[in-house]
Amino acid sequence: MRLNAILVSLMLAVCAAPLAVPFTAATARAADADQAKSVIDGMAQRAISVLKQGQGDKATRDAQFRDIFRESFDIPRIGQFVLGIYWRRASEEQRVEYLKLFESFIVKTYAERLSQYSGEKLQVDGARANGEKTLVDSAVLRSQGQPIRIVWELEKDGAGKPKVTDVIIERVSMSQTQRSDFNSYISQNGGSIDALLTKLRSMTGGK
Amino acid sequence: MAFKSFIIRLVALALAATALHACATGEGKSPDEKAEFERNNDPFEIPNRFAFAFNRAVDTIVLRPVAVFYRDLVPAPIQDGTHNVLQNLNEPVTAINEFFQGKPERAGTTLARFVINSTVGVLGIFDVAQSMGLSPTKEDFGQTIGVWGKSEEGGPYLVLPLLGPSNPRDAIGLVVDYFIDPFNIAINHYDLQYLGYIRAGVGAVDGRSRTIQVLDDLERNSLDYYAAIRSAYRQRRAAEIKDENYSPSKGTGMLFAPAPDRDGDIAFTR
Repeated sequence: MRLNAILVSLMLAVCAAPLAVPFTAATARAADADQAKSVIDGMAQRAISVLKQGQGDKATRDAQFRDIFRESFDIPRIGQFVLGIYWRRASEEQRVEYLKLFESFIVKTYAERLSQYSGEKLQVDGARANGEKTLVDSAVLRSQGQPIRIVWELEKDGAGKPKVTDVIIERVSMSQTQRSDFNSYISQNGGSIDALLTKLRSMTGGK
Repeated sequence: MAFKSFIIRLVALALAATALHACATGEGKSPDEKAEFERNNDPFEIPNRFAFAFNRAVDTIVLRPVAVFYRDLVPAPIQDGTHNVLQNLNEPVTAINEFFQGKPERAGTTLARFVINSTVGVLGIFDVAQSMGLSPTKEDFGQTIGVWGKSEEGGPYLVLPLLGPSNPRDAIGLVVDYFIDPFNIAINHYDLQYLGYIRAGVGAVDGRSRTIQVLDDLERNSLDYYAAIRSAYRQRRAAEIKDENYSPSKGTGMLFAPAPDRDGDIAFTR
């Protein structure tokens, strides 16, 4: 009797499983979407509060931006994608240095973009799942001109925390564009990864 | 007439490019390099870089300074009015393309916009139709070819002198758009070519004035500006065509529905 009960419950569990999976997947997805949205919202609020502090020297500001980016962006993953076919060829040392420079490069790029900030608002419209990724739709509202559409692509990092892996501005992916850019730069320089590192070093002020 | 023969030469170039493409492959490269080479789809990289450098020189010396001057010193209402007039002049071409793409309703809306703005909107200076809920769209024949072929791939990358980034599909699109444009037909019929030149010139300044910030940013933050532009151009055109390939009736969700194409934001110096 007891064995029977176990068998029945087992069968029930097996039969119910296909029903349960989509259900839990859907709720997990909804949770992912909310989480992803809050990552973008939180990042925007923090960035704006840094900008609004106004004074303060550029170095402190950049350090604050760096913290925000480190927390919200999966910089190693983006960096690896951007290096494209040369990631596999790079030595361990080159990879380590590249990722360090890449982080500085990204921070510099976005800090520069943000410094042009003049009261625009980031309106987060919603999030949707795209395979393993979550896409957050948003728009930068300006006092003049059309809003700029920005889609944030997030993926969970090793620790299960959703992090930004791509920023798609007006339908142009930053990661994709940078990948073409970096790969072309390396191939223009005879396939030398060191040439890229030298260039990144000079662009980020040798850090 | 000079422009016409220039356009014809352009088509010849585009066709030659398509033919040549078959011969050009990445010889003597490793498989992943070959894959990257094919992804870039730029067998004419050397002449393209040459044309790009030429365009960049023209841009640095003439177009960008004029566009900066225009953006910073011309009163905003005049800039808006100018942009609206240019947009209005382009509506018939958009309507024809929307019709070709099998969207007669959308074409009807575009035509309604054209009629309203040309009359109530005083020759297109005021976008009255927008405030009536008729939003603008912009469709060109390059997109129409993409929609017909159900493909976002437009062939090998081409940088056209003065016209900028393109590919055979979009170059052919430019030519077709030129010839189906009722205003160009009228201009050529009445021998008023100078009006066409004014329109092209003002259009270039208007378009460039709207891309100053984004292109400066891309230039500053790229190692190989040419490659960055190439990638951005391809992605943007692909997305514009992809939007059109989704039918609204399928209800694929907010962002997948064909979004109205906003004019001029990242037009890459057209």
